[in-house]
Amino acid sequence: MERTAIPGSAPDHSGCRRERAVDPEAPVRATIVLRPSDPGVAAKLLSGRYDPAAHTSAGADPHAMAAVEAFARDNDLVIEESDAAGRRVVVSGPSSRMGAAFGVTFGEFVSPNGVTFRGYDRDISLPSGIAKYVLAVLGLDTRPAARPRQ
Amino acid sequence: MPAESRLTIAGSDKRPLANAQPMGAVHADETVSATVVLRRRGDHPAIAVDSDSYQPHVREDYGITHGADPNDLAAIEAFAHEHHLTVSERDAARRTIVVTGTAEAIQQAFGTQLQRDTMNGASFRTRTGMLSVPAAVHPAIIAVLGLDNRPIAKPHFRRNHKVTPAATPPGSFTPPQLSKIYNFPKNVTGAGQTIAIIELGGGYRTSDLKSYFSSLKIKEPKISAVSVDGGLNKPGGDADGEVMLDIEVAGAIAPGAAIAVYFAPNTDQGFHDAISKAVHDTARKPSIISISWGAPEDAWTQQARDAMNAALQDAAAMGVTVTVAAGDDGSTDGMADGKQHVDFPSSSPFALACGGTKLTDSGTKIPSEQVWNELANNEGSTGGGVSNFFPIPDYQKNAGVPKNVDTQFAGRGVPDICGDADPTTGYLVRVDGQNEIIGGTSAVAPLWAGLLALLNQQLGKPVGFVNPKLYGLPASSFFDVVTGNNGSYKAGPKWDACTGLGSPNGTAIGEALAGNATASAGAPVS
Repeated sequence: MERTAIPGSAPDHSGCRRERAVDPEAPVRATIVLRPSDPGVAAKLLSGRYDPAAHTSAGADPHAMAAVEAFARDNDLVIEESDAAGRRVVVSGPSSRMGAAFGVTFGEFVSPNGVTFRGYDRDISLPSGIAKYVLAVLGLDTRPAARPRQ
Repeated sequence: MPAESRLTIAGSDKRPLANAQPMGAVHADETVSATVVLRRRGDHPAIAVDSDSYQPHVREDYGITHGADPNDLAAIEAFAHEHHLTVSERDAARRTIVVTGTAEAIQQAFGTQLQRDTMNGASFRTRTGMLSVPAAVHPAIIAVLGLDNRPIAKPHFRRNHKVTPAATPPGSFTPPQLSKIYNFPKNVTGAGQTIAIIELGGGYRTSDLKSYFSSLKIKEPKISAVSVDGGLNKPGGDADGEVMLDIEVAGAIAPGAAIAVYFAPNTDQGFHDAISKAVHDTARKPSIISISWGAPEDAWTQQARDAMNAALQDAAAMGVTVTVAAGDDGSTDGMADGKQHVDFPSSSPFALACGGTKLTDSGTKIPSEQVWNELANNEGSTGGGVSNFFPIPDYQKNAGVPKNVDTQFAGRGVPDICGDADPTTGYLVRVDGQNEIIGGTSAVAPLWAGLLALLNQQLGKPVGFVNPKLYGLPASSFFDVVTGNNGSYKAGPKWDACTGLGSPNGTAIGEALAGNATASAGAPVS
């Protein structure tokens, strides 16, 4: 099956050390983020020409949601959450199946400041029929994302 | 109590905290939580009193592989109860049990003495030497975490100094004082609004909140915790300072608003899902989201930035305002590559990016402010600059945003607005039983969130995605900050990359937005 990479999904592990492979049975939980169904909303918002009262939530296309859910089922993944308004499908499964579904290999890494995290090795990819609906797949990498600004 | 045979936990040795000032033993009745990390199930001998034959395998890896053995979980719970500790969390998959109790009970259970130390104005609980546990449960335990909450990396705190409630140090402010200085509207409390606060760690204690709001003679707002992706209200760590600052500032400015704190793990997934949950929360219906966490733009994968930005776009489309701290490390945002960086998510064009000032109460109607820049004293400076990823939005096209100094990219300018943030002129808050002065742009996000709750009530509807409106308001709506720099960018008249349009003249913003609403009534919306 033809696969397409999710743009900008390759991790930056510079300075990190790969310690070991991840247990194939280890549970992994990921959030598949779908594209907003109406691409024109952003421009209207930024130019101040958007009236919230005139629009409902710019959620995901129902066909896209159904396609992503079918992809999860085809890969024997558990659908934990399916939120069309939030454009999110949360799936989980053992790392072996999750790695195959998203086209990555997992590893346990240590960051330069000593944080241990689960990461993956290359661009996330999906069957091309699904990839066009998907903006991001988050959670395959558990590295701390942010710091408090205090 | 009969003497019990105890064994030390390998690798639990702690050295004294260097450069710290010891403040003596912690109070015997202080509440302390500890996370007990259990071994994986299988391939381990059953719990044996004969522990000489067994060397516990201490792993630096706390990741998930196999869950804990149910017998081990039961044994640790029994141990906790015997030592008068409460089991506040139990997670077989993560192999953790969180136990909570008085410092006295914790010390007896884990064979240690807890001290309080201060360093750089921040207060920590510390211990030295090894931990020990009864021999019977010893093989099951690979680590006990959280008794000592000293910072592991360089402190990123913007804490000033500890104070007593009776003596607020000169130069610092309570939120009601700032409300007055920034001319926030009176006779409104944010009633009918919900402020969502995103937290990626830490927690709050109700007792601290009660005592804080009562000391300010403010009715305590309705506060609830929402769990996202397994995140929990878990006080006892460094991030408590952030959590308490956010709740106390927003709550003191708008005590009539409900506050919902979304706790998520500190991963890009947790951050994204927390924003998404808050935006689409049909039960609590927040009209404002306050975010005081971030990382340099370049530290994110493109897909994570895109996903977060799309969630913030959803917020804008649904009429939810999102205030975001602009960072505390000046124009480099703490990166050491010799280039200038802005902090994300504040650099999203759908975020209201909040910069920081050093504020002096002039006693007049115009507050005296300059750019927060204490880099020379290692006390931080406001973030601000030009995005390398998000193009300049329409609403900033006449604001005089320069190009990115390194790449010449015509990017989104950060911040949009500002407020007091310098820790030397910081906010009086209460954290883990202590009154402290805390600053950082972290304080500005909840300050503006509180103001927007007041304005939403006053205007009778949420201001929603307010950026395009703010850039069209008369100059008198802001106190323009024209002095200082954050490294590479200087403040000046009107918008600048340190303080944005300026700090809020709250009442004037409300009047201008109300006037806009009247003026535009009936106008076509495309």
